[in-house]
Amino acid sequence: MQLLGRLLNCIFKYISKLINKSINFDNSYEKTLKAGKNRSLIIKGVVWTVYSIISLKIVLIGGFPNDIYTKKPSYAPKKTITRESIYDRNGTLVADFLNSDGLYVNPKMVKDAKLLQHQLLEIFPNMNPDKLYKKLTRKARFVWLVRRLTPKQKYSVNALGDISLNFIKAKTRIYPHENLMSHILGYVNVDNIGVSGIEKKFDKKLSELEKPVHLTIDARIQYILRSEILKMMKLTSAIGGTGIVMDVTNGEVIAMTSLPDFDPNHPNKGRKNFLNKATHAVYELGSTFKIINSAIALESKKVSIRDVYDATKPIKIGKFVINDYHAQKKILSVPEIFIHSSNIGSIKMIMDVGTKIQKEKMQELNLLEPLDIILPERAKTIYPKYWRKTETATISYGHGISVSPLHLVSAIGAVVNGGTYYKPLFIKDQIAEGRTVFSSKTSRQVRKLMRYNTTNGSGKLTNVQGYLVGSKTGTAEKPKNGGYDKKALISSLVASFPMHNPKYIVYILIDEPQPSPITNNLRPTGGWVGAPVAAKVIEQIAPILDIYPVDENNPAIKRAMKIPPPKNTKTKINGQI
Amino acid sequence: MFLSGKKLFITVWILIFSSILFMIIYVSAQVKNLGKQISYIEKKIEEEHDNIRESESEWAFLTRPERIDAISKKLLPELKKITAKKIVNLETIPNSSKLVDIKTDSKEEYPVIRISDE
Repeated sequence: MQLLGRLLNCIFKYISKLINKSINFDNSYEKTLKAGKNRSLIIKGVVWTVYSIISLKIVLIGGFPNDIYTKKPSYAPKKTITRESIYDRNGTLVADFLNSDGLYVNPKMVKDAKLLQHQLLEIFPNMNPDKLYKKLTRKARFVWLVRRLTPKQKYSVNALGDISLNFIKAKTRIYPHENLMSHILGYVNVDNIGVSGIEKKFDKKLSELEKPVHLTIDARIQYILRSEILKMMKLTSAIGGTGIVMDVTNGEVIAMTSLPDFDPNHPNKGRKNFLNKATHAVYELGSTFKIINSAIALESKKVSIRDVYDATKPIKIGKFVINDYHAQKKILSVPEIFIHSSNIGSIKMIMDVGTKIQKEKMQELNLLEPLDIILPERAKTIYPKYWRKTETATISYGHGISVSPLHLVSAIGAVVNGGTYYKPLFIKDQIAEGRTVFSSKTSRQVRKLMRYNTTNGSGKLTNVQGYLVGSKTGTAEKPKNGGYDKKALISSLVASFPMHNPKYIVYILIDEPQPSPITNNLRPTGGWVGAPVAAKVIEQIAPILDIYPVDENNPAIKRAMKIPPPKNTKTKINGQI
Repeated sequence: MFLSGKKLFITVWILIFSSILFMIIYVSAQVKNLGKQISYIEKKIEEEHDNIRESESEWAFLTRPERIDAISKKLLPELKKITAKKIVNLETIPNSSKLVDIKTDSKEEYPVIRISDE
């Protein structure tokens, strides 16, 4: 310690000498002393200021943490632009974002454009030779040739050894299931910005890496639905098709397809198929609307399931004469009106109810509003501005009002599930908010009618043993030149199962099917083309969806599905208009 | 004391200042070093993420329902779709209670069914 003391004394003496040397002594001792004191004061001031600043900074860093001190240093690698994945309801990946290589050319470095054109065409046979030559000879330093290379193509380009060709690392959106969910997922543009479908709706969420999106769609069910509709389209030379499978207990859409579709990996090749017919297109959906008509009539209590109506003669409303396609020309009970799809009976039923109630219920079922879904492709319904007697009549059998297939499915979901309307959901774990539209009694009665139509009516081909399917067919002619085109049909079918406790709805629509051997070369109605598809779909998806088959001869089931006998026709024939 | 008054004060001050200076430089170097380590680890994590995503995509591509269906049709032509007739209630199988051990009180989501060895 003594040694340290001496050492410090020496250091101070040395510093003092240095200071004294720097002071210019003159005759005035006081002046010199004053100057020394001033300098010492300045040095002290400077030292104390620096010391205070450093101390303050330490206190600030330690006591008041701020982003400035915790932010990443500039040399940290920059986060590359990326996009979150999309999964189906079971965790199957349906959209991902992967590394890939893009190819560009520096035309100023191209020595022999003709030769390079020839070499590149061997690797990329689909390239347009003229366009390629123009790119190779353009006056620029950077021209894109291929945005996304396969590993094999990259190897081949590398093997050319041409210094004018260069690669750029890029990230690309890929859809491993290709066409399977194209209209639901949508697609992204070359800058990886969502252009349609879920990609557009969740563009920000997916690109800011908040978290992956999980859909309500089941890839397996989607495949079954799509492939069965495709088969029917091929058999009947139809121009398109649509299918929906929905969970009626919460509105979750399990599968939804619109055909023809496109491969979102190469959207430019399928431009003409971008229209999502399930959500974005509207149709006059015909007799499937009679499910809603029956529910409205029964709910109003002005019509009973035991009532009978005279359907012997066509009805004349205004200047229109309305007839039945499957004319029975007899007095029909409500269940008979349903299974024979009687327009006359349906009109008479709704006339007993009235326009006001019909419109109110349509509103409650969201059939007059744009589709309330998460997808950007939402249809607006087309309905009469002036809703009078004629409109009430035509709407009762599904004409004069145009809705999207998903509009109809969600409305029928409310009819069969006990009376609660749920808006269609596409994102898993969303809270289903329902609103009561029909009583459980009405729902039970309509379920009986639908089951009756499967066992005795136009939906016979939907009957899958064990799954207690209820259905309703619909065949509508497409509007053309102010009238209807008898050859351009929209043949559809709505089925629900199991009817004693409905869980799912299956909707099939075939656009412009043609008479073919599968329809016995007859008019390709919903019963001929929609019903077999629905049956095949239900048969395959029911075990996947954990629907346990039931014994249809079980007395309790029979009791639940029993159609009450009609009233005596001599007592009262309803709907005399 | 070897030093007194002003000298002691300046000595202590110099010692504290040098220590703080040394600590600041040391901590700053450590932070920089750790920053580089973090960057390296983050880069590795990102690479691993990319690898996982690539593998996931490959798996999704290889297990497409379309592909599985085609392969099963080709390699297992006897495999038929499940019809309602093929699904029976466990209780309808004779002596099923002796064959299986159903534990419904387990904490798992679904009851555990174990086929007995007997």
